[in-house]
Amino acid sequence: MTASAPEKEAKVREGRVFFQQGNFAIVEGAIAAGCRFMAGYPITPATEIAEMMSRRLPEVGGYYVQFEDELGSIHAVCGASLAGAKAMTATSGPGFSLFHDGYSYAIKNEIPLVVVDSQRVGPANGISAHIGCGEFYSARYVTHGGNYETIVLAPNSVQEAFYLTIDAFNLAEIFRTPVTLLTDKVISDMRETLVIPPIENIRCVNRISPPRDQAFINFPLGTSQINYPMQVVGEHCGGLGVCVAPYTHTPMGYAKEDFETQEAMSYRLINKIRDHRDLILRYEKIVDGDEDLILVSYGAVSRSAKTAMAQARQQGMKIGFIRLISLWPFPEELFTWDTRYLVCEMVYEGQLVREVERAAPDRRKVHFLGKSVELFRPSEIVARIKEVFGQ
Amino acid sequence: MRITEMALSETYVGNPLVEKYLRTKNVPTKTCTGCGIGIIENFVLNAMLELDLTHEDVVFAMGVGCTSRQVFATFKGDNVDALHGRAIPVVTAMKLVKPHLKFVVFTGDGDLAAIGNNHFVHAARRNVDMTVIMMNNMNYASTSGQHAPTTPMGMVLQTTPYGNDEPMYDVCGVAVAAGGTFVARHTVLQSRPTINSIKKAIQNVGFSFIEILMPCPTYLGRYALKSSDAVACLLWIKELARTGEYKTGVLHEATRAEFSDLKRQTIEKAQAGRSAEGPAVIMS
Ligand SMILES: Cc1ncc(C[n+]2csc(CCOP(=O)(O)OP(=O)(O)O)c2C)c(N)n1
Ligand code: SF4
Repeated sequence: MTASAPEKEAKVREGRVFFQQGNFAIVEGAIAAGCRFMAGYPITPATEIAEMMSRRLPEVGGYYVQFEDELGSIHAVCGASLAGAKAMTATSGPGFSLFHDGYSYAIKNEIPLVVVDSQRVGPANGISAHIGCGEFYSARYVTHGGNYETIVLAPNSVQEAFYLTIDAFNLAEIFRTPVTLLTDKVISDMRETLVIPPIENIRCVNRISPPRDQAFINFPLGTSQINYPMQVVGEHCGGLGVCVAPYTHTPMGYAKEDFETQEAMSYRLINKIRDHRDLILRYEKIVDGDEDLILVSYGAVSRSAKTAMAQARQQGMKIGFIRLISLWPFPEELFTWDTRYLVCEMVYEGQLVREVERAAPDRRKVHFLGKSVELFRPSEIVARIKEVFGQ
Repeated sequence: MRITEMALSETYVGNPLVEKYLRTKNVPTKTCTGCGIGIIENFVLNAMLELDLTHEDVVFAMGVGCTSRQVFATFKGDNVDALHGRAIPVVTAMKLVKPHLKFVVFTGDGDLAAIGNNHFVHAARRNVDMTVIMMNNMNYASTSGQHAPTTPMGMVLQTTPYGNDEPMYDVCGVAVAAGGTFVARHTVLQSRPTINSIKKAIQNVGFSFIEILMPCPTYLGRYALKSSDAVACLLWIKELARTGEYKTGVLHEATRAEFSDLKRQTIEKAQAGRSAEGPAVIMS
């Protein structure tokens, strides 16, 4: 769904060109994707998304509501989507924690929506205007209870933030599930050239609802079907109306707390994503096949890593580069080659590195460089590469 | 439970309210003998009938608790049961997207006045057009009889073994103070006044709040009144209302701009000022 490089170049000519922030790109991506409802609660570094949406949404006939807290926001987004609107909310770590309640409701009830988390350093309130990327795992295990897979996308440029926001909305509709756009303080705040193509060049996946007054199974438990229609509140599509429960549900949406229903519902939530992970998988890979070490990263960090790769190559080292664009489902297949990996992350304890250790053939060859508060200088990464080679 | 099922199954065949408004396969529900929830659902259906509303005009929303679980999926039409305390933000958003519909929220005193209190206060402030029916059983019944913010002082429940040492929450008072435009308090024994209030609440274009004191013989009766006898529980409620300790009636009526109307006015303002095509700041 992301346009290829030549396609993008063509669009530069016909599109509108901006020098803008990542948050601006997310807002315009959302509007282009058809988002017409945002529930917000200000928090650095996602605040501008709320500010800009409060201006832009009414212009296109949409609604911005600033809720009393992030719990209100995430549940309101569920309500808006159940009533047929494409909807989103945006926050940073402290608000993301409060989303966990409503996120479970959206996953279980197959409610498409988009959540933006612009990561800042934590835990707790951390340092509000500084980068830290501690939500790699909490975006995957975004709520309690288990029995689900999640879709998480991470941009590393302003332009990509625009396209990935559209992708997030499309994937949410295709899979009938919430999608997290996991960005960070640097991408949210920095300014770069952004090209917004003409709206007719943007492919949007829109909601399909079942016909009015015909019996319809809203939850095809036991299948992993995607692009499945969704009953919308107030449209009387699919017979008697929608039933959406907080408890484990039957195909009709009725609450039923028993073993068979739990199993059928859980496997639907898991398999609809596992069986179609090729639709989600997105990455950037610069690997020729003779590398002694591959740098692994996502988000803003990947910009330092890419420069570090170039510098190390200039110094004669054989260094490759893998950048995850889709973080979850985790792309194990990128790490099947038995070579050294150096995972660079904006957390001290290491999160992505654990997944790479799990996927790589030899975990002893998986190395780590962690930091917080400010991005790596490429020289720091090169120094760590040399250290790894010296080991 | 068995007695309720028998009683209901005898009455519901041919009952026009049930035929008209309920998913007959999903009733009777599993409420305990003497529970007030069914009585309150009946009041709502009567109000709908008298207002000539069908299941296509109203969306039913709930939270988590006995009060929600026992009415969820019994209605024809849309039944949106939210997580604990969260029905109000879900409905707030649905009202914007589907402004022509009426929304009725069934909630418990714990669901609304404890975990969902923040949303309740702000929906009243915003005057979102919805009717919130708080079924007050003065305890957390679903989790089997702990105290709630609505538990009277001194009452012994599962988490107040020495008597409740916290003051009771005046939820209706807060609904008025926060800006609700129709606020009433009743008991399940006041059928006609309660039905009338529900009708007014649904007709009010704004935030309507009705608290209804109801019997929960299983927990309130058993622990606080030392008897799970349904009649004893009802008599206790009747006495509270009679003495005025529990003040009932319509407490507040007002007219104020409604939330979704104001939001649509914002759209008109925004669209009058600027083309809907794209962002204003273009660099090159
Ligand atoms: C977040 C969360 N916390 C706690 C619970 C457990 N819980 C379920 S119902 C309930 C209390 C409900 O009380 P009330 O709203 O008064 O309804 P009642 O059961 O008394 O009708 C609680 C605490 C839950 N489901 N979710
Ligand atoms: S526990 Fe109380 S509130 Fe719950 S169904 Fe039984 S009587 Fe009703």
